[in-house]
Order: sequence, then C-alpha cells, then structure tokens
Amino acid sequence: MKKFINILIASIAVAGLSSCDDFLTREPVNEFSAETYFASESELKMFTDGMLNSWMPNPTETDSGDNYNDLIATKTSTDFFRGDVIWDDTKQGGWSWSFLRRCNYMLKYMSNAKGKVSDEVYNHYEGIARFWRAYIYFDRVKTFSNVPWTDKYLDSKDTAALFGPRDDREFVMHQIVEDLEFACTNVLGTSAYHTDGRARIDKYVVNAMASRIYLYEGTFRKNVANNPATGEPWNNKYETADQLIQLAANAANRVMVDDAFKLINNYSDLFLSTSLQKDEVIWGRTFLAALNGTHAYSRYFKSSTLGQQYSGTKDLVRMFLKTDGTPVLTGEQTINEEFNGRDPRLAVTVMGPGHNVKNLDGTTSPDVINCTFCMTGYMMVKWVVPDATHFQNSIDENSIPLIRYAEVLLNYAEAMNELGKMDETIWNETVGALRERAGVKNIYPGSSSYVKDEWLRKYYTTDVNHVPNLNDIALEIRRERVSELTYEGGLRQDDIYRYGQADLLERRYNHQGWTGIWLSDADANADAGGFAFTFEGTNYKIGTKVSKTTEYAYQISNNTDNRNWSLAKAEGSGYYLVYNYKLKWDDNSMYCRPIPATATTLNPALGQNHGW
Amino acid sequence: MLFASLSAQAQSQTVSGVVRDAKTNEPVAGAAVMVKGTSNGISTELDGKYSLKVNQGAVLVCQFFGYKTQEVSINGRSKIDFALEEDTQTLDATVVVGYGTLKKSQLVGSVENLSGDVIENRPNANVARSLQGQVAGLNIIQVDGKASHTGKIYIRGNQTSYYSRKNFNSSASGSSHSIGTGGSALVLIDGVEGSLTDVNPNDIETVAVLKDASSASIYGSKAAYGVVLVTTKNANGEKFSITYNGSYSLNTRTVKWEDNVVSDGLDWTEAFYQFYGGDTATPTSAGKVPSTANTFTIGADYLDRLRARREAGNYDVYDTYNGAYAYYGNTNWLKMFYKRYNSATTHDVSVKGSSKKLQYSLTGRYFTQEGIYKIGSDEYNTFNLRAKAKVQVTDWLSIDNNTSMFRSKQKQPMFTTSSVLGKQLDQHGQPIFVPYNEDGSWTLSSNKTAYTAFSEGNTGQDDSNLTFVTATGADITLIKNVLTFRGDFSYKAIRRWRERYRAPLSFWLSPSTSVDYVKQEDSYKSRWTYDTDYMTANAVLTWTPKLGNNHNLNVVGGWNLEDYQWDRFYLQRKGMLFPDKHDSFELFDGTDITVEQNNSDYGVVGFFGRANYTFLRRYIIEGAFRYDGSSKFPSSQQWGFFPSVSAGWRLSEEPWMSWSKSWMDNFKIRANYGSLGNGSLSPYTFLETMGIDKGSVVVDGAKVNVTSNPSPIPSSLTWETITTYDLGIDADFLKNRLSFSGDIYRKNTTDMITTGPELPDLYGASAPQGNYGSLKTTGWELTLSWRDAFKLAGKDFSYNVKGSLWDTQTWVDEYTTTNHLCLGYYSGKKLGEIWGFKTDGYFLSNEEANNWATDSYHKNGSNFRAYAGDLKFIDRNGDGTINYGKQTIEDHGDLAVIGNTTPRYQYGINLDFKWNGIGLSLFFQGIGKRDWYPAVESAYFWGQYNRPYSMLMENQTGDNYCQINYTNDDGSLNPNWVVTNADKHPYWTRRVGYSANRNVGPLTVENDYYLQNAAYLRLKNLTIDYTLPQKIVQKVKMSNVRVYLTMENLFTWSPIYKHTKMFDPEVITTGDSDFDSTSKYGLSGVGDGYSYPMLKTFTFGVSLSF
Repeated sequence: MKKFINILIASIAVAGLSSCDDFLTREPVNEFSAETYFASESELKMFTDGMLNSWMPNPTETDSGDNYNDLIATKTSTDFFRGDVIWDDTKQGGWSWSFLRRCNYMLKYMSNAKGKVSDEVYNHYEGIARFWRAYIYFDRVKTFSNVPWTDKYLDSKDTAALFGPRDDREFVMHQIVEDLEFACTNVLGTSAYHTDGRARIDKYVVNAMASRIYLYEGTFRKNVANNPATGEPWNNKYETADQLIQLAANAANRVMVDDAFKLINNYSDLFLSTSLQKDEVIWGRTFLAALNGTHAYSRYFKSSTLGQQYSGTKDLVRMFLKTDGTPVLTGEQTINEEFNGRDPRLAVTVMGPGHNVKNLDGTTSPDVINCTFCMTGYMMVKWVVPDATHFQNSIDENSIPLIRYAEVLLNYAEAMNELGKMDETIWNETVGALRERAGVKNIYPGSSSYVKDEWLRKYYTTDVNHVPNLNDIALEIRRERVSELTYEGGLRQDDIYRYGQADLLERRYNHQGWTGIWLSDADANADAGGFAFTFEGTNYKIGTKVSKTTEYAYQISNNTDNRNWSLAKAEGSGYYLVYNYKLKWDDNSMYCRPIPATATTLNPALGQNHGW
Repeated sequence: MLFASLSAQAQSQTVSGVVRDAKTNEPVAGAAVMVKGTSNGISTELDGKYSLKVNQGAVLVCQFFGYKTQEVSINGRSKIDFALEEDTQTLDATVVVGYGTLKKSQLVGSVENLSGDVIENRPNANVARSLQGQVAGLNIIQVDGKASHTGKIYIRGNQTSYYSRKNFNSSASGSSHSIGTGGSALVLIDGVEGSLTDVNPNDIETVAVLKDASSASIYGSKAAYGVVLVTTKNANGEKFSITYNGSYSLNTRTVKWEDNVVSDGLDWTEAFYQFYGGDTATPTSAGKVPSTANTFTIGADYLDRLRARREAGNYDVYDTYNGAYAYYGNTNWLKMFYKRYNSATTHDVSVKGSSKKLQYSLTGRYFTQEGIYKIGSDEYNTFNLRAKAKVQVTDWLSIDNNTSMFRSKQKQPMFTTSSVLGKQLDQHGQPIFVPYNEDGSWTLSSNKTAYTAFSEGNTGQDDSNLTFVTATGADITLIKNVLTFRGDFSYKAIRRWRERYRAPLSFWLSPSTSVDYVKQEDSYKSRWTYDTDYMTANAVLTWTPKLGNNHNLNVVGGWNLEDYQWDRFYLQRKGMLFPDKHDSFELFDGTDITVEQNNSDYGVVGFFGRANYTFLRRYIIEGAFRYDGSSKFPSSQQWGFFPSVSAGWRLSEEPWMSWSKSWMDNFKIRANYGSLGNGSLSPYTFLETMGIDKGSVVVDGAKVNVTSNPSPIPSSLTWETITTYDLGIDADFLKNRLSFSGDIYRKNTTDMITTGPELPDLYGASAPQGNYGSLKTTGWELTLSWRDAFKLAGKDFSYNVKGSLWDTQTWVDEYTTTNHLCLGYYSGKKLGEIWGFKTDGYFLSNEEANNWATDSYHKNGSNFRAYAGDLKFIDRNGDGTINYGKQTIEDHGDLAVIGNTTPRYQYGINLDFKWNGIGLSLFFQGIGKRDWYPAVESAYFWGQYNRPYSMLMENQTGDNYCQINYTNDDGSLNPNWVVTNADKHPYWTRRVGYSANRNVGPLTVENDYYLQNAAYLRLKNLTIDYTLPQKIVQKVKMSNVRVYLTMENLFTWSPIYKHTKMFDPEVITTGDSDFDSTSKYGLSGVGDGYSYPMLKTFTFGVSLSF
C-alpha cells in the first residue's frame, strides 16, 4: 500500500511536470553504486578486502616465482630465456591495468566517508588503496621500466591519458614512493588492524614491502647503469639510488623498532605448518580445506608434469655454510657426505639423507630421488609436505608467508651496508640473528675467525658483465639471502636482476651446464651409458632403464639437444652430473621486457623499449 | 434465443421481388434472400430478381456484401423489393489503433486488425501459435512444441543476435553475438503489457498489429519492435448468454524419431565398427577397433561375439564378459521414452450479459495436456479466468473493471543434469544396451540416458505461474461525441517459481559392482522464485470536433506511467534424505545451502499525442509523438522525443476518379515516417555498480565479504533509435470482394548499444558499451483477399480466401570492430549468412583425391587429408590448398557465403468455406527460403558421422552411403580405394566417425554439400465444423450448437525431408530453454533438434450457446 501511495504521489508529481527524479531513479538491491558507497568503515574494509582478494599473491605466483634463476635448474624455460626461440612483443603479456581502476575508483569516491569515520581511519584506508596502487605499479615498473602513470579514475573519454606516452621510470618511482610513504605513515598497526591472521594490509606489511621495493629499485639503479627502457643513463631527477636505499633502511627499521616480530625457533615450521607463524610472518596466506580450499605446492615440486621440475644445483648447495660458520671448501662431496655438519636450512631446502616421507600405505620410509622430475639429484623439499598423498592430490594446507621478518632484517642489513653504515651491532641484529636461529655459528666478517669464501667471491666476480664492489659483508648478505629465502616468491630472480648480474642465468649454464651432484670416478663409470650413485643405501642409475626394487633407474632421453644429462669433470677427482638446458641473457635488452604488441597497436604513443 | 417464441407454422405462399442498390438503383445479383431463423433462402439472379416460398408471417432477410442487411416482415405481401444501402461499417470498419480507434478510411499507418475468429477454434495451448502466419510482417518463430512455450514475436524483422562456431580453427564452444539491446514486439492485452501465453484464446475480440513507427510511436520506448494489441470481448448487445466450448485433442509428434533409427543391435554394431575404423583408416593401415561404446566397456571383439551368437541362434540379451555384465540388445531407446499419442482437453465457459447500465462477462478456461513420455510424470495445466464489467453510472460517466487470472502448472521429468534428453539418448542409448540387468537392477545406460531418473520420477522440474491483472478505468464524456476522457490504472502481479530436484542414482556394472551415478551429497532441491509487480496508469483525452462534412479531426493526447519491479530469489539445499520425497527443503540435509536474491526495477513516464485530420474524405494527415522518460538511462539522458508523421491520399475519392466507382471501392496511398526509441536495456547498465561476494582469502580464520570491481559504465548511453519509412497501398475492388494491401518499408536502427571500440589497457576494464552500432532492414508485405457468396444447391455458399506474403532482410550498417571477422558482425554483413566451403561432390577414388588441391585444413578422421568417398572441397582462390585465410572479409581463403538462415518469403493462406451450416477452413503457412546447416553435435542429422556411438540413421544405411573397398578379396589392405557403389549416387560420404564432430571435420565445418533447404509449406490448420440448424437448436432451448473437427500441423512439405526425417522444419532449434539453453553451441554443446517435439493435433470440439 505504501508503494501504491508512493506511485500515486509520484504520478501526481510527474503529471504536474515537476520533479520525477525519484521515480526515474532506481538501484539494484544486491549492488551498490559509487555515489552512496564508502559511507562507513565496514564499507571501506569490504572494498579493500576485495583488493586483497584479487591481488594478494596466490600460490601459483609464489611457487613459480623462482622458475628461472641461476641456482635452480628447470626442465624447460619460458621462451623469454630460451636461446633457441625468439621472444618479441607479440609474445609479451602482462600489460594489465585493471588495478588502476579499482584503486583510483576508491581514491576518487572514498571522500563519501569523510566525517563518517575518523581521520585516522580514513587515512588508514586511503593508505591501503595507495599501497596497492604502488605495489602493483612497482611490478609493472620491474617488468616494463617506463610505464604510464595515472592517479586518476579514467573515463573512456580521457583520451589524453589513455592514448598518451609512457612516463619515465624515475618519475613513476617517485609517485610510488609518495604512495608508499603515505601508506607507511598512515596505515595503522594497532591491535584492531594488526591481527593474528596476518592477511590484511597493516603498518608492518606496508613497511616490510616498502623495504623490499625501495631496496630493489635503489640497488638496481646502482648496479644497472642505464634505464633499460631507454638505454640512457639514469637522470636522477627524483630520488637517487642512495636515497631509495635509505628509504629502504628506514622502512625496515620501522618494522624492527616496534618489536612486533621475532624470529621463530623452528625454521621449517615457516613452510610446512598449517598455522601461520605469526611471530615471524608479517604477511601470509592461510589455507584451510574446509574454508577456501587447498594449494598444490607439494605436488608442484614432486611432479613430472605439473611444475617446472625444479632442481637445486651444486651452486645452490655450496652457498650454505657449515654449522661452524665457515664455508665448504669443495663441491666434490657425494650427496650423502655434503649434508654432514651443514647449515640445517640446507636440508630444509634440498632433500638430504634422513628425509622421511609417509607412504600411501601409511608406512614411513626415506624418500627416493626421482629423476623424472629432478634434474640434478637435488630434490626441492622446502614446501613439500612429507606425505605421499600430497604428491598426487592438491590437498596442501601449509600456510604461505609472503614476507617475513627475516627478509626485513636482511633488507635492513643490505641497505645499511650499501650506505656504508654497517657495523657489528647491526650485523648481530640481522644476519647474525638469522644464523643463530638456524644453528650456524655467527661470525662477523670483520672478525679474526671469519673465513673468506673464495668460491663465492668468484661466483659473483668471474666472467660476469657487471662486477659490483663487493665487500665480505655484501657477499655474506647475498649468501644469507640464498640460505634463508630460496624459493620464496621469486626473490632470487629479483636479486640477480638488481645485482645487475642477471647474466648469471646464462653464465651458470655456460660454466658447465646445470651442475648437480658429484659422482666419484667409480660411480661415473659404473657401466656404459649410465651414471650410478647411492643415496641412503639405495642405488640410482641414470642412463639405462633398470627395474629392481632396490635400484631406481631413469632413462635419459637424449634425442633432443636441450634435454639431456652429461658428466662434467670436476677439478679434483670425479664428475658432476650435468643437466643440459640452455638459458639466454642479453644485458642490452632483457632487464625489461618489450611493450606488448597488443598494447602498442591500440596506443602507438607508448613506443617500444630499448633493444626490442 | 432462449426466450424467442416459436411461431406457429402457417400456410405457405410465394414471395418475389427485385433487389437493387439504393443509391444507383442498379439490380444486385447474388444477394441472399432468406427466411429469418431458417436455412430457407435463395440468391438473386443477374437482374436482381428472386422468388421464394415462405410461410405467412415470416420475416425476410436480405444480405449482400458491402451492404446493410435488411429485414422485412411479409405481412401477407407477395411482392417485396429491397433497396440495399451501402454498409459504411463494412467499408469503413473501426480499426483498433494505439489509445483509441480510427475509421479504416482515416488510417494512414500500417496496421492490421485480425478478428478473434481466426484464433478461437484453434486447439493450441497459446495464442502465439495461432497467430503465426496470419499477419503479413508478423514473424513468430517457434522455439519448440512445448505447450508452455510461446514463440518469439518479431514485427518486420527477425532476431539480430546469433550463435556461431567460435572460429574456423576450432569448433569448441561457440560464440554468441549480439548487437544492440534487442527486443521483440510489445504485447498489450487490454492495454496492459502481457504475454500471449497468458490470454484465453476464446476471450479475444481482435488482435491489432501496429507494424510501422507511426502507428507504434504512441507507445514510445517499448514499441520499437512493433506492437500487438489484444482486445478482449465485451458483452455488447447480448441480454444474457452462456456459451460452453469443450474439446478433446489427440496429439502426435510431427517427427517420429524412433521410426528413423536402426535398432537392430548387429546392424548398429557393424556400422559402429565401420565408423570407428573409418576414423583412423588409411590406405596403409586398417582402422582401429573399439573397446568401448562411449563409456561402456564392450571389449574389442564385441562384434565377433555378437555375430557368433546370432549365427548360433542365440538371441539372449544378457551375458557376462570379463566379470562384468554384457548386453546383446536390440533396444529402440526412443521408443521406450516417447508415446505415440498424448491427449489434451479444453473446457471453456463464458457468461455474458448486458443491460442499459451494465455490461458484464465472466469467462473461464481450463486446458490440460498430457505428457509425451511413457515414463515419468509430465503434464501441463492452465486455468484462465476473466471478469469484466462496465457500469454506466451517469450519462457522462462509466466505470469499468477488467480482472483476469492465469494459472499454469507444469511438471517435467529431467535428466540428472540440465542436459537435454535427446542428447543423452544419442550419446548413451546404443541399441545393444538395455535399461535393466537380468536381476532387474539398473544398467549404466539406464542411468545415463535418463531412463532411471524418468522412471523413478524423483528427478524433475516443476513450474508454477500465477498471473493476476486488474485494470480499473473510468470514461468521462466531457462534451458528447466531441471530448472524452479516459483514465485507468492497472496492476499486474506475476508469481512464478521453478523447482528442480535431483535424487541419488546408481547402477550395477556386475553383480558385485555398484556405481553411484548421482551421489547422495550431490542430490538437491532448488527453487527459483520470481515476483513481478507491475503498475501502469494512463490518462487520455480524445477530441473529435464536428467541423462539417469536409473536415474530420481526431486528436488523442495523454500521459502514461509504468512501474516495474522484479525480484528473484534462489534457494538450494543438497542431500536428499528420503528418495521419494522432495516436497520440502526440510527433507534435505542442511549442510550445503545456497541463497541468492537480486532484482530489476524500472520506471517509465511518457506523454503522447496524435492528431489525425482528414480533409474532403481523401486527404489524410497524421502526426504523433511520444516523449518518454526512463529510469534506465542516466538522468542527463533520461528523456527521449520520438515523433512521426504520415500522410494518406484516397485516390478513389477524387471526383475525377468517379469513372472507376463501379469496380473500385477504395484506393489509398499511405506514406509515413517515424522514429522510435528503444529502451529495453537492462535497468542498471549506466550505473557503476558493485556487488558483494565471499572472497577466497582467509582473514583471521574466516573468509570475508568483499566488494567486487565496479562495472565499467557505457561511454555513452542514450536511446537506440529506430527510424522507419513506409509506403503502402490499400485497395478494395468489386464491392469489397477483392482487397489488396501492400507495404514496402525501410528501417534504420541507429545508436545501437553494443561493445565499443577497444580501449588501451590503461583504462583498466574491457571497453565499455556505447551507442555504436547500426542496422538497416528492408522488407515488403502483400495481402490479397477475396470473399464472396453464392447459392449452391439452393443453399448459401460463402467463401473467403486470403493470402499474405512478406519478406524482410537486415544488414549491419556500422559496427565497431576493426578485424571484420566473417563470423562476427561487420559493416555490410547480411544477418543470417552462413560462411562455409563450396564442394564438388566427393572423391570417387584415392587417385582423384591425390590429384586435387591439398586439403590440410579439414581433419578427416584422424588425418588431415581426404580419400575416396570424402568430400571434395573447391579451392576457390586457386592457391592450391583448402584454407580459410584470416577468416576475415578481406581474406577468407576458400570460404564463401553459402546460405542464409533468415526465413525469407513467409506466407500464410486462409481458405474458408461455409455452406448450409457446414464450414471448412484451411490455413497454410510456410517459408519460401531458408538454409540450415546442422550444428555441431546434431546427431539426429549426422548419426554416427557425429560420434561412432551415436544413433544410426535408417537413411545412412544400404546404398545411401559411399562404400569403400578397404581390403582386397584375400583380406589384405587395398591401397587403391574407390567408391564401390558410385552408380547408386549415395548422399552420405564414407563412414568416418567424428567427421561431423571434430574441430575442423569435413562435415563439422559448414559446406554447401550438406547445407539443407529448410523451406516448408505446412497445412497448419484444417477445420470442419457444422452448425446445427436453428430449428433443431431452438427445440432444445439453445441458441447455437456447433461441432467441429480441427487438425493442426496436418501435413508438411519440405525439401529437408529428402535427407532427414528427424527434424521438423519449423522448429530447428537447439536445446530446450527449460534445461539446456542454446548458448552451448559447439563441440560438447547442445546441437540442433533436441528440443521438445512439435505436435500434430486432432481435435474434436463442441460449442454450445444458451
């Protein structure tokens, strides 16, 4: 009846040619329009939770992040790194900007909330929107270097912006810095916002991520001479490399001074525990089969079809210290020997002796090296739940840290070292603390008991295009990043980019191929066409197909050039098992990717990147 | 009449006289002179004379076409002359137009009025089916034969959206194409928007079809695709009457699928092996041997085992093989599902009456149709009720109310998913399998064909619809015969729900292996509730001033308001706890529940006006406008103004045309131009709205609610405009016995809302929609009728012939894409065109195939090449290979437009004869030209060319397919294949499984060899009726008794029958909108021909009036 009266009133109103605005204004019941939304904190929260839902790194992104770096062999490669395939703008993707609509939409319309929430809360949510804008923009900068910047909610008629040229990377970074600094200052870390789930964006997530982003850009500018988009030197119109590194130190320090996090005792819990290790994980994703499903990390690393068949390399293994805090002096150790007395994190990362798994029948036994997906003899185990049912089904519930306190410490250490402000106190608070947590003796590189690792120095200084000025502390920080962070969200690939040493990708292969385990002379010549070794008492034979219960044998398919094993003579005695799959690097163009052809077709003003 | 007195029979006498035209005094030949209330009568001779034996005191009635009927009492006279006056009513009938009526002579728009008679005696479940073919330019496209489904109604056009294959590299999942917001004709029932399914056919007085913009423009934004005005009957001039109509129908499917498929297990299996082998056979290798028939393991030696059993005379169906059940059946699964005949019943009662102050009528109808399935409950019932009354309160005020109710209930069995039955039967109904195991348990086939679900009756769909409309109005005479006002208010409520329920199902593969086909946790009950509340109000002033004989003015002005509110509610609960009970959600496990709710509201306000001015009875000019505001547009663009102008010239009224008066009664030329706005887009298109979803990220131990991305708003959003130019002629000759009406028109649809040009990715969303597209449509319509009456064997014989023929074609004028793909819209595209390859028959030998253009495009079986018995594609561009170029207009390789799916040259022919109470009427309807290429997965056409395990068509056996000498006499492979029965000119190519079911199969991709001519001519209706003589009727105190026999869809002629008897040419559509919709085009999609069958109907009915 009320409706009827409304209609009647409306009718009369309309008939009188007066206002019929109300009658002709309708809204859907299950949706909102911008004019009325953002009127309360819960509406702001739901909108930013939508951002989280869309853009929080998902397991696929994090597990494939380290597909291609200098320390991990993979079965094949993306065409981008393949020597035998041409990459060009028709193959390039990733030119996606939907995040801009959402962030800029919120920043445009959230003023509805002014006066309805406190300024503090308002700035918190503005900070989150700006964090996301900066976070994703930075990803585009890493990929394409110069990109168009817009902080405006674009209408389809904004042709100047839509069809405009790209902006200079340094300008865009300056905008990102503005966004991040706003977020670092305004996003709240009080108990209502810094919750145990560690999922939503809070003060610590913002600052930790800012330290990662600033450190990347600062060191990138130091180590890569030119803006890869143009091939021209940096113009330093905005933040300099050192200023960015200082910002990184500041951001990391803001996390550290609050005492909100600490290193947990059991390192492997960070990767295999279902519950998120909230003491150390600043930002992370949890999985519960009953709630939101599961992920497939275990299967991904234990499958001949699903993932990229990751395999650790001898180089990776050599970077881990011994528990006495000194480096190993040779790689010529069998896989059974080299885990003795080593940084315990090695056995958490790569499968060593004594690694048991629960079999399908419920019994427990040592896992086997499976060369249908392991190229080198070093099987990755960091994320793998030691239960065979997980190797066949996507049922993993282990939570995934996206950024943790350990990285913040390392970012701080590196930034301070780059700025020349490193000292033993800072070392002990950062790298030292990580080594002690792991069970490795903490030796400050400046102290008398420090043992230099000439192999490691050579690794970064021999036969590379760019040799930075590396002091022992810098080398040790690099080592520590590998020991601590391998396989976490693609950080290693980012590191070699920002070291200006992405050519390691190609060089490590050219060195002698992807080196795997060391084989004694006797093992390497076991029988014609095959190499044999024993791991944990089980015999492995690579080369001929043998079917025995105590002996695992793998056929080599040598019929294609890019997929085969060979042996490389070690410097002393014996051989390294080598997986042959060549990657390519070109300093002249590959520090950024081509602007996709689909994008330049629609907007030719974008232009193309240097070298593409 | 009930109270009519039966006059005493007195002595007879003879009466004679002459019948003349009152004006010209010319004698009238062929006029009927009859004794009132009897069948005693005679026709006048050439000189107008008649002579008749009558009883004293009788009343003579003189009738002739185009003249007013006269009645004269004899009063003892023996000579009575008649001077007949022209009947201006017949010459100048009143025509229903928007918001009023006009004299036919005043009409300048393209309007066709149809009397309710043509609908009344048709036993169709709904009116749309009866209207098909009756009005030139009214295109009713039937979707299927389901009683609850009404056709899609388009006026002067066809639908502009379509489905196509995805592209020429792949047939997987097709693409849907649409331009503009579309829409179909606006149907108004007594002024309230409604559906032709809801209205009682017996209630209909007239159906007016407003075809051009000038006629429809008064209805504004919803009338862009034409208007159908249905007016229900009033109790005019009847004191009191009761009428009963009852009929009983026997229905039978127009297509008997089961008669055209092979059900012999051995014959089917042999073909199955041939198709399966042909798939991989090459001159150097024999084809593969199947080990499964679709999902059922039969073993690779099944054929050998089956043959051996037959040879040993073992016809036992049941056996075991490798520890599992094996079957050797001869099952015709279609026959097991479908009845030959099903029945329908109609009861219809109407009570009418009137007095000086009151007119009232009360009508009711009950219709029930039995299902077509032998198993499972399947029925459809409808109930209509209408109460109308009009009270003359004072001499200047009358008020009226018109309330109607429509109730329908439908119950249908369904497969366990929404897949269509025909598709399941094709994929799992192999003749060798049987529904039951020897111990009576269900087989795999029974589960997968839906036989179990249908039989058990606990998997199905129920629909309920209740439509209630009440309209109240008042007529006020402000100045008698000059100025009147009408105001009305209508309210319509539609309460509709649909329920689906799915029970757990299982079958036995062996005595010890049972498989759950539908697990208990996957069983469910779902309910969709749709509530519509619609209100409309009108205020109309009509001004018809008296301006003397030479001027005639009719002005209508008014205001209209509409309010529409729609709410959808969805509920699902999983886990059926009691297999036989699904009436309540509470009987389902409650752990998995889904609830959804959304709505759609809009409001429209309009002002309208029309002025029609006639000068000197021959110059007519009309102008009309509508000014509409709609909530569907942003406030800056809410209002649209749509004007139209028309002019007419009645040439026949010119003084200098008087020479033609004797044979030409009317000749009018009409021209009009008008524009209409289309506002039928979804209500919230212009808003940047966002919804709330449950996110997948876990925050503090729980999933959180998140706001979705705001939808991009159209870059421009204003009314689509349809501009129509129409030129027409109406002419009547020979005392109105011959009538002609013709129109040619052009329609330009501009500013169509469609996807805009691609924007740079920085925009952050796919390009928004905008007013970017345009179409042009041209067409013509012709209607010719002849009616006359004469004496036959001393009794009146009247007849009536009417034929309509029309055509319409549409082209894309502008479209935004730049890639000009053949399969999409592009500027210049003619809608409906079929792109494909041209062929030159098939290869007769491998040698011939080797010397032909390289065909590395078509995947023939497992090979990218053709052999003897395979289609020979023409290399049109002469580049030596068969290819599709870039499949664009600029570069389309060997592709060509090979046909068009648009129905062309539609026609309808009515023939009516009446003699001595006996009536015969025939109605033919058809389409002159239409092409059809059977879509991917249309197994009822392709048979085992679709999938080797599909049904085997009778017409794909014997010498009707290309037989190949794969092997030599000694059993060795023969590399030199030839078609061994080429002299028999088989239609079907070599037996190759999947050749119509691969991405680029030779039969999958459109080609002119298998393109079907789907034109048809159908005897839609044949009715024979007999009205009992009044003498007899009056004795039993009734006023009218009529019995009739009527047949629908009695005969059909179509060229498609040459190659398939599995399709009804009228309803070649995919899927069934109740279950699997047409949107699933492509491989594993629906395919053509699985829709609910069309029915042929034999009805016996009786109509009694008291």
